[in-house]
This record gives sequence, C-alpha cells and structure tokens, in this order.
Amino acid sequence: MYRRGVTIAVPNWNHELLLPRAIASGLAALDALRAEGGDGEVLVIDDQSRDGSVTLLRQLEALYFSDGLRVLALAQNGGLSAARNAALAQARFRHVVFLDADNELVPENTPCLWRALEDTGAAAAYGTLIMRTVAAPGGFAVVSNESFQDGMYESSYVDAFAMFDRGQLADLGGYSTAFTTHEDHEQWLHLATNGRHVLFVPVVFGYYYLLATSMSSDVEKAIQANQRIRRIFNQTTARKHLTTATRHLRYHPALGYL
Amino acid sequence: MDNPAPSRRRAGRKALVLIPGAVNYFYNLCGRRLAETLRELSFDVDLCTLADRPAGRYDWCVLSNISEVLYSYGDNDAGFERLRELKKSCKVMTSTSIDSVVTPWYQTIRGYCRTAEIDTILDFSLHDQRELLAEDARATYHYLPAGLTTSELRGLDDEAGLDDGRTIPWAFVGHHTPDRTALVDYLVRHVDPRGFVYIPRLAPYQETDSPHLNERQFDAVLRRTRYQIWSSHHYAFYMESERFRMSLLAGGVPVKVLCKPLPPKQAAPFSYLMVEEAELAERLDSFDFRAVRRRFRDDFRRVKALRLGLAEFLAAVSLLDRREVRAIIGERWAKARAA
Repeated sequence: MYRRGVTIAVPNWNHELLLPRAIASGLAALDALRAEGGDGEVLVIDDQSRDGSVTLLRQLEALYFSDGLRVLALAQNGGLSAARNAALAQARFRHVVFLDADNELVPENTPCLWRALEDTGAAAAYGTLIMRTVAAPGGFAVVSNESFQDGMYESSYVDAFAMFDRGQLADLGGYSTAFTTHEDHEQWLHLATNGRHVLFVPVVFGYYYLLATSMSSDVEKAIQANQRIRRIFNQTTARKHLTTATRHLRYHPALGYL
Repeated sequence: MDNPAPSRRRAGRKALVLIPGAVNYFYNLCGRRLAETLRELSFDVDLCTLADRPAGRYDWCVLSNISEVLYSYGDNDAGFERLRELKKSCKVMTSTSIDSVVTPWYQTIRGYCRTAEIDTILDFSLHDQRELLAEDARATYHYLPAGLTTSELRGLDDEAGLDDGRTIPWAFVGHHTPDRTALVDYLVRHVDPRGFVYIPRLAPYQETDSPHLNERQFDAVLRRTRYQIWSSHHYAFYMESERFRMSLLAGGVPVKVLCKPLPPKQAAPFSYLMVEEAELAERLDSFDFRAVRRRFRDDFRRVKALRLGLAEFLAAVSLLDRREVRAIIGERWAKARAA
C-alpha cells in the first residue's frame, strides 16, 4: 500500500529565506536513508505564501526533482494542520516527518528513527531537538528530550517535529483543524489516549529555531489552546489512574527498549 | 536484607552497610561493593536500609551515604534518632561520599555527620580532594581510592565479545543544563551526529518510571558505546569515579570534558581522558579506540584496589590488624611479579 521509506513533509508559509536550510537537510536525510536501504522524498507544501516562496520552490524542484524533491502548492491558505493533512494525503512513503520550514534535520539520525518505527510498529517517534536562535552560535536549550510521561497531560514538552506512521495518523483523522496553535500537543494526546505507541529515541533529531515572530510566541492563544486541551483530555485529572500504552517508551535500534 | 551464610569468620567481626534502597542506585551500588569487599576481609556483613536494619552489635557501620540514607528513611528527625541508637551498638560509624567536596551535597553530608556525631567521611574518589577543603573540614575527610573490587578486577580479564554490537560512537547522559546542551551541539556538529543523547530535566531519581536511566539501562547503553562523554554540572575540578568505573566495566572509554584546564599540580590518573571542549574533536579524532581502551584498562588496574584501600582505613581505626594489611600488600606484589 505505502512504499517503504520516509516522506519529509515541509509545510511552508512565508519562510522563503529559511526554506533552503530545511530542504538541504531533508535531501541529506534522504541520502542517509538510501545508504541504509531505505528511500524517501522531500515534499514541500506551500500554504499560499506571499513572499516569493513558490518561485524559489519551483526552481529548487526543477534542480532536485530526481533527488526526491516535490512541491505541492495549495490553492487556499488553510493553516498548519490543513497543510500537514495535505502532506499525509499526498505522501508516497509509509513514514512521514513533519519538518517546519524554519527548522532543520540532523540528517544522519533520520534512519535511526525510521528503524525504530519499523522495528516496533509504533505510531510515532521523536528525538531530542536542540534549540537555537538565528543569532546564537550554539544550542542553548532542548525540547522533546524525554519519553512521553503523564506530565504531557499538563503541558507539552514534545514538538511535532517527529516521524509518524502515516497510516496510523490517518486512521485517527490526522491533525485537528480546530486548533490554530498547540495542534501538535493535541495530536500527541490524541495518539496516546487512543492506544497508540509513541517512542522517544535518544538521539539529536534536529534543530529547532526560535524566532520572535513564530506562531508559538502568541501567549493569549496558547492559554486558550491549553484550556481546550485540558477540557478534552484531562478535565478530571483522572488520567493518571488510567493505564496508557505509550507511557515512558524509550527505544534505540542498537539497544531495543530501555 | 542481604546476609548470606558466612563461609569463614574470624573473631566475629561484624559490619553493617546501610544503603538508601530506592532513591539512588549509585549509593546502593557503592554499598554492595563495600559489602563484597568487607566479606573478603572476613567481616560478617548485613546490607540493608536504615528502616530494615536488624538489632545487634557491629564493629563498623557505614552509611552509603548519610544524606541518601536519611532521605529514603523519609523523616530526618526520626532517622537521626535511629542513627543515635545505632551508634551506641557500633564501635565505629562512617559515611561515604561520591561527590565533589565543593558542592552543596558534600556540605550536607558534613552537616548531617556533625548532627549524628560521625567523625569520618570516606570519599570514594580518583583523586584526593583534601586541598579543596577548608582547614576545619579536613579532620573528618578520608580519601579512599575508588579502586576495583576483586570480582571486578577478575572480570577485566575476560575480553571475549567486548566489541560485539558496539555501534554507538559516543553517549552523553546527564540532566540538562544550558552548558551541556551547547556541548552536545558541539559533539553533533564536530564529532559524530549519531551519538546517544539523553539529557532529561533534573528530577528525583527512581528505579522505574522516572526520566533517569537506572543502573541496568545505563550499563546496556555503555556496552554498545565507544566513548562515554560528560561534563560536570558545577565548575570545580572533579573526577566522577562511578562514570570512569562503569565505562571500564562496560568495555568503553570515558572522556570527561573540562570547563577549564586541569589544575597544574593536580595529581589525577587518566589525564589523557580529560579534555577541554575546544580540543575535544581533535583529541577524539586522534584516539585509536582499542589502543586508548587498552591503556585505560591497564591504568585502572594500577589504581589501589578497594580491598587494600579499605583494609588500610579499617586498620587506621583499629578494626583490622596491620598484619592483615601487610599480607594483602604482599599478595599484590607476588601477583605483580608473577605477571
């Protein structure tokens, strides 16, 4: 049904100046996958950008099509969740990475997460992300640096920048378009409460760049989204009494479960 | 409680080794190693938590360490009371430490020892930290070289399959700090991006269901890893002896990253495995893994074995005859000459 390999999906909205970095890391990740017997593509989904992104993307697509770069330009702006769902529908490979256009992969570790999902059949795997700013020379903080634990029902420490089994994600309806922020937190809890396995793989999966104008810096929206998530998933705080299949899963292909 | 039937006893020497239990495996492990070594020195040993300790008289009671033992007991006041009672039935009571003496944790051990009227803190370390202590703190400090137990020394001789599945280039395990994040970023960019990285938030340790790796999990990682790399979460010079030892026993090589150059007159083994960050990539690149591991293993064999170090301490507090210490030294020389 799905081809064996990874679609690296890059939703883009007006990140023309940062796209080349994300795409370069994606193409390098495909090289790493192919060296280990896998395959893949980089699929950029442009969500009606106004800044020249589409022109750049078509040029890059012409140059790198045979390396696996494809561009999907959406006819209407639908937001991040809709763009990710479009990627799920269009992806050619079984596993999907969601790489925001302002971030970058550590290409050599993409095969590690891919193997983890192939070995275990889990719905998703994530690795540590090192946070940087455009100005800072090195990483200063981390996110997605621990396994999925009960604290996720209070606040999220796992970003959407991860690898997913597209079939399991699609079975559960993909990303909720009712959320315009914190959609990744909602998705993680959706997976966990529906019995899916989420793995933490102890490698550095990528770099997460903190920009002043990023979507996550809108505090008021964040508060409202958190309240809504709590209402859906944890309103009675009884969650801690329920067994969750995905609690505390740590996996490395060279080690198995830790 | 651990109290196997004694195979041989001399003059009814008894020791009580108190461990935290569920709190921190480093100190449970330290306690087990002490118990093994004491039995070799012909002590009858009880190994347990403060809550489970049996009634009876002991020549030596050692707490591994007093802070962790009291924390796991759950009530400091009641714990101190229990220790005061216990002290009446022991000839000598001691606490261990596996911490840098400039940290708050060591100061806590000192404070608790004062409260419990314990005169000696045994520092399991790879270097003597006395010079870092204020004058008034030196009287209670005793450096005990963190050498190997007899079973660990024997295990070093078995190198069959040492590199089976050893595919992970390096591992960095420790709670997250901004400095450690920057160091991991450096390792990914300049050494090898495929390292094992585990830098969870700082949280109390639990054997299961905590962010931390327990002893078995950490050992599993190290057995598949070439270099264990770490940095201290404070700025004083300190050699984390447990990290060196765990790497040794797992067949890997430890590399400690320094935030500043080694103090010029610092007497410390394995200086070739302690590197400033700016030189780290170049140093690792220069290593032949098998050759540096051979050197590390040979050098660790030369660190004073725990049996001898402990025997010397016990002789100093009159719990062991000095002739027994001389006999152990004699055995060592004979073995070295035969080799």
